[in-house]
Amino acid sequence: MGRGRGRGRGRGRGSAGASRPPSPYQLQLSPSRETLTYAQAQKIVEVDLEGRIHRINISDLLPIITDDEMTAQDIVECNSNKENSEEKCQSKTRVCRKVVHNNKNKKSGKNQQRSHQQAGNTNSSQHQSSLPEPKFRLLKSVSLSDAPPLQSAYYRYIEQTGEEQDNVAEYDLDEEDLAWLEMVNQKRVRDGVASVPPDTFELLIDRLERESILESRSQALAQCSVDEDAFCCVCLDDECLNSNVILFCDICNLAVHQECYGVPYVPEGQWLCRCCLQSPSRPVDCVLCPNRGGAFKQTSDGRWAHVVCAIWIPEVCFANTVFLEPVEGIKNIPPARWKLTCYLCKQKGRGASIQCHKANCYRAFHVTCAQKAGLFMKIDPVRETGVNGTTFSVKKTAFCEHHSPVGARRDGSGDESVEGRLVGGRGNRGQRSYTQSPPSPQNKKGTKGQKKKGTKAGGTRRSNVPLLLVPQIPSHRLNKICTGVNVQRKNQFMQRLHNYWLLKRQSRNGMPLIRRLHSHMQAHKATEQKEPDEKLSAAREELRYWQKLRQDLERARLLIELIRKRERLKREQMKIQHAALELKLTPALVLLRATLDQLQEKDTSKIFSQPVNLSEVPDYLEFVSQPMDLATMRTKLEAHSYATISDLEKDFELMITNCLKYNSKDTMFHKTALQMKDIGGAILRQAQRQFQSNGLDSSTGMHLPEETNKPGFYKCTWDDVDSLLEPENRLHLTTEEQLKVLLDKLDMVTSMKTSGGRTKRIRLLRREINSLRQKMSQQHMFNGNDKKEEVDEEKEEELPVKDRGRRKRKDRTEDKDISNPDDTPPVLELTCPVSSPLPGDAPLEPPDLSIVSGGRRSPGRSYKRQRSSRSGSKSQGEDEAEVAETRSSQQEAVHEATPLGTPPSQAMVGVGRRTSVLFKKAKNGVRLAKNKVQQNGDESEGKMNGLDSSPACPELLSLTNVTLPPTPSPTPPSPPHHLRSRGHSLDKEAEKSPILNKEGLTNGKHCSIEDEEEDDDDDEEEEEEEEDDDEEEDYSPPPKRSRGKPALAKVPEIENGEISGGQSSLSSGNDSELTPLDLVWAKSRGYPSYPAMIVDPDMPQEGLLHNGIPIPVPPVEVLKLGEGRETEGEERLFLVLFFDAKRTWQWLPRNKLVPLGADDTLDKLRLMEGKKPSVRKSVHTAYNRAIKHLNNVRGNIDFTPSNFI
Amino acid sequence: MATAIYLEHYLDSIENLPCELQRNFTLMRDLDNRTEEQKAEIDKLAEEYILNVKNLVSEQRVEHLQKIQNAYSKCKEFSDDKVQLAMQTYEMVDKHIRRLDADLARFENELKEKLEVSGYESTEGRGLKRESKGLREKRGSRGRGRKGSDEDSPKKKKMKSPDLSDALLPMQPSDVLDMPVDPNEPTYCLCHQVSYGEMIGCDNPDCPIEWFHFACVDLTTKPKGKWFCPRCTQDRKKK
Repeated sequence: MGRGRGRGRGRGRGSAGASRPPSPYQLQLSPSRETLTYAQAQKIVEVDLEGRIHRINISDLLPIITDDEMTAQDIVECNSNKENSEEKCQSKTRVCRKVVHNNKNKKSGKNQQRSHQQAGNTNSSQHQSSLPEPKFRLLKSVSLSDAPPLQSAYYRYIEQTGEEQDNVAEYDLDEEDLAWLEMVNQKRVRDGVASVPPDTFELLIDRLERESILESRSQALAQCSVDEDAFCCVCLDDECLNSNVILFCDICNLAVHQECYGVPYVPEGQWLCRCCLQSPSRPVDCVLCPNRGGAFKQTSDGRWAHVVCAIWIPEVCFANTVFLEPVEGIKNIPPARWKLTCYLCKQKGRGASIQCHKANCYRAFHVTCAQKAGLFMKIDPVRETGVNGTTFSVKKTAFCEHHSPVGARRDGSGDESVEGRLVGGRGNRGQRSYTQSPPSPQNKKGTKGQKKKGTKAGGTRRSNVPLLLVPQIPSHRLNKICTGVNVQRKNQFMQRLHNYWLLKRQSRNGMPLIRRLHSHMQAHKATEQKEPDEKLSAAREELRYWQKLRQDLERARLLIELIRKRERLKREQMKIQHAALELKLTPALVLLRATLDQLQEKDTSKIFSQPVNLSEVPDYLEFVSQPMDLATMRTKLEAHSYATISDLEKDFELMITNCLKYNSKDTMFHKTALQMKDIGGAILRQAQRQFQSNGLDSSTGMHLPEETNKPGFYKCTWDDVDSLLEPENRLHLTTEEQLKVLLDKLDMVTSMKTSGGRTKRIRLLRREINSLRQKMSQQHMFNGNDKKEEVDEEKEEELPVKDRGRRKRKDRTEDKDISNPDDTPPVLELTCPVSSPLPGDAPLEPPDLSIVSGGRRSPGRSYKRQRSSRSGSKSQGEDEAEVAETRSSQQEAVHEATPLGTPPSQAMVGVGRRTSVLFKKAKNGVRLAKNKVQQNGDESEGKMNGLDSSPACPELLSLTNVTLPPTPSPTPPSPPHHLRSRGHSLDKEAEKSPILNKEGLTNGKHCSIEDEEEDDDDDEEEEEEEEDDDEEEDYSPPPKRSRGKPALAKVPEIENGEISGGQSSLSSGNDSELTPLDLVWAKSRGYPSYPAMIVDPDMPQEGLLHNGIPIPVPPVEVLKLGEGRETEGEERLFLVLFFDAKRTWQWLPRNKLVPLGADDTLDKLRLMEGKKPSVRKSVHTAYNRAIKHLNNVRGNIDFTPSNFI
Repeated sequence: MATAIYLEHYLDSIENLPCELQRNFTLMRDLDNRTEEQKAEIDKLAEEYILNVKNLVSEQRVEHLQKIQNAYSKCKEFSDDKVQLAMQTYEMVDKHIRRLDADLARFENELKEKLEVSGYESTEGRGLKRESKGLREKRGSRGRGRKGSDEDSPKKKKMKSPDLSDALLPMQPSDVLDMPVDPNEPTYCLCHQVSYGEMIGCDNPDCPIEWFHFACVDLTTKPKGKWFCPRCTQDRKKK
């Protein structure tokens, strides 16, 4: 570059010739046109100059050059400019100048181009001013100064790597080699073979050396197998302190303590023991003992001695007590010592021995022999000199075998316990350390781990020693070495060379010929190691890079994992926030929603979940003016139509009432509705309490601004409950309120902790509640009746009063009902759907008792029915009005039982909601007419009553028990006794009965003949109310009674059965009268209910066909049996034919029979009744048979019993 | 030493990972911002509602609440998107990591092979010997631990030997596992520890913990079929 520029300036513009016009832009030897893209081509101007095509980018700035300047240019340039002027079309203000790339200047190439560019730049800036004249002056004295010395940091010694060194022959010939080579060459020449040049010789020797080093190293490695329990062969101790470590000779693997061998500082790199260092090839002998091996030091006269020997032999000492060498004072050893015979090796005159330190014991032994034999040798640990054993007098004690201290002799464990430098008892160690040498100087160096005590083999076998130090080079390595060398008769020469090398090595005591390799074995090892290291480190570097990348990625993954977690948390937070805000804005709504959800949950059969399908039951609206269901409620709820829980409750009740109204009581719907009512009531009450305790504002549906006082709901005490349990304490309340209060209390009590008092009170409360319920439902009934009958009530205001009176009375009796366990076995509590505070606990399926006892009755009403029938039976002879009263409360039952009603067999057939509804409807349709009949139809009632009660005649006695006063009558031990007691109680009852009866009469009158006799009863009613109250006070509170007589609950089974039987017979009698050929569920003792057919025992013996189906004829013996039984018991027995495989016959009372196929739910329950799967299965098959029979009889094939299964 | 070609490919493939990460993160931030906006709006609406609730008829209330509801559902959408994005990103990085692991394993194997081939035969033999020796020494030093701190110095002379095996050691794949412990490392399992050993994922997608140590859930082998963590099992039972 410098050259180009200099030229341009030096010659000036004037000098035309060679100087090139400055070119402002670089001429690109641009890519050929074909390679240009279209867009590029559009921006390029092509100029053909002197046969060359130049392309100029149109966006390049072209300097303007004036005419003056042009004159300064040479002609060639002008020409070129002229040519260039063609291009002025691009921009007229610019003068494009073209550089002539003349051939002359082409050589200077790039340099010139750059200089041109610079010059061009200056040109453009100077415009019209004349070109600057170059000014220069000659400096007279200019001397090129030396470059200042650079900092030392710039200089670096680069050591030759192992590889580099390998390529150079390090070995230099010495005279010996030259002589040998000359000899060899002469011989070769004589043989007509080319002589070997010294270079080749050097190279080969070098290679051999290297090989030997490698070989020796690998051998050494193999040799110096790590001696875990290495011990110092001077003190035979393996203790190793940081200040006094055990060193290993790198050649012979001798192990010595730093202090024991006088090595104050651990050298870097290799360490060799003295004898390996100074006499590597020749094993040395100790002048003081006959043993070989171990740690030697040189004596002052150039011989060798064991360090231990020097330590123990009193006359000998070390000249330097730090380095423990050389050994001095050998000459001072008295001749007597030399003459001592070692009692261990029995050799005389070899070396100097020491004697047993025991007084009067003259046994002599070599130090090393003693060590070998494991004699007791102790060096006092006190070290004034800082070096162990530098003073020889009193610190060492050695005993012969016999005088070794007890426990320490040849006892490994013993000597461990002895403090200090205890040498004795380490015979095995000593044994391993030494071998006897002269006259059998065997190689016993190293390998002490494996070698046993050497045998006294004769003859000097030197071979082993040089081998150790001048390792044999395997022939294949030799071949490898000489591959790179071009020598004639290679093998022969190599053989010779190898031998020569071996000899030379041996002559030098095995010292390597190349100093570097020997002295820096360690270093060399390192470099040699570096050799693969180079590659390794590159690879490692790369690997490290990848690992870093991997770590980075791992970190990224971690980060993202955290992010993911964060986002999930955020999402959760969002949801929670939403919920929180919802609670904040519309807490009431949330509560309502939760309540509704709970309600919905309880509606397991989804009866209430959707609006009644009017297309399915088109007449629904005729009965129900305001349909309601949970879905509608939800819609209303979401529309904020409910402000309070009570709004919700209203709708809920509406829903239940609708259901109760529309569906007959023996349908599943009715029952479910009742259950729902109870459960839902509990839920709603709970919600209501929550509503209040949360302090919700019903107008806004939000929390009240200030905290409301928590109502003392949970602060109630037992006293409160107890006081509430007293009926008189809540007289001031209406029934509804009472019920409410009681339910509240019940909820409260159940929410308390479990205790004896709690369960008791819960029971009591439930009883109260049940009784209240009954009252209420009865009242409802009356009201409903009143409404339905469209009686124009002239003294309507009196009704509540009367009602209450009636209620009171009933209440009382009901109380007794409940509290008398004799009559109401514990099961009753089950059948009665108590409002359970834990709604989930409420049994959704009616318990067994109600099932057994027959028809689909509302459990809540079962009492009433029982009672009414009882009272009916009781008053049978006295007053029919009473019956009328109960009947009116039992209107439905009555209707069913009425002869006017549809035949039961038909009525019972229907299944499914729709049909049952239709059936109901039909009944309803009848009802209005019927009621009218009923109004003046005492006789019919009486007739019915008679019909009803006639099968229940035996029940009379037990029924009186219902009104049993609280006399603590003993538990009946036997039925007869029981009966007697009943009779007794009946008498008692009779005393009171006038009032009761009277009341019953009036009531009955009031109900049945309301229209006519209303006025007459009023006075009486009032009177009786008072009396009722009195009576109620007379009776002690019901709970106590029940508590007092737990034994009564244990009614003898048979009687119980009778009772229930009577009841069910009554109820079923109410439901339907069974006729022959009806299908029934027959319950015989010990079996579950089983499908059966009632057969007329009086049927013709030749058999008969029922709708074309043959009916089996009962065998004579069965008939006889039945007659016998029938005469025994007064009960009427039915002959049934089971649908089992054998078609068994059985006589059963009415109360054991339940119509089959009347209600699918009922049937299902029966099917499930069996406890064992096998039993259930047989019932199933029997049921199928029965249904098949039914279908055959009816000709209805469609029916598929499998629906039930 | 020439890098294996597949590693080069890997570099190419990982090249746009940062970009993708950034894109995803930006997206997430964007969503986050929008969520925040929605939240602010919700707050406003809520405020409004509380002020006016007395004057509003039920329809208006419903309407107002519906607005809030909508805003929330949007927020939820965003949140879902974000979670989805995060999971995608995770998958992406995970995929890369898995690939790198596979490649690295391959690379290491190749390296080892190369080393074995290239080294001197003797070196090879020695290498093996030394390796075994190194092991023995290690064992030895442990055995001699009772001697105090004599492990290094007394055996100094011997320690120099294991050269090649030492040189190889830093290249063990275990290096990757020796990453410095990140204090922010997510914790898992019932024990709230970082992940280690074999882990098992709960099959409930909404499990709050997700991953469990085998030992903490009394597992030794991977169970067949679906597995749910103790908590989720409980929850499921309740349902």
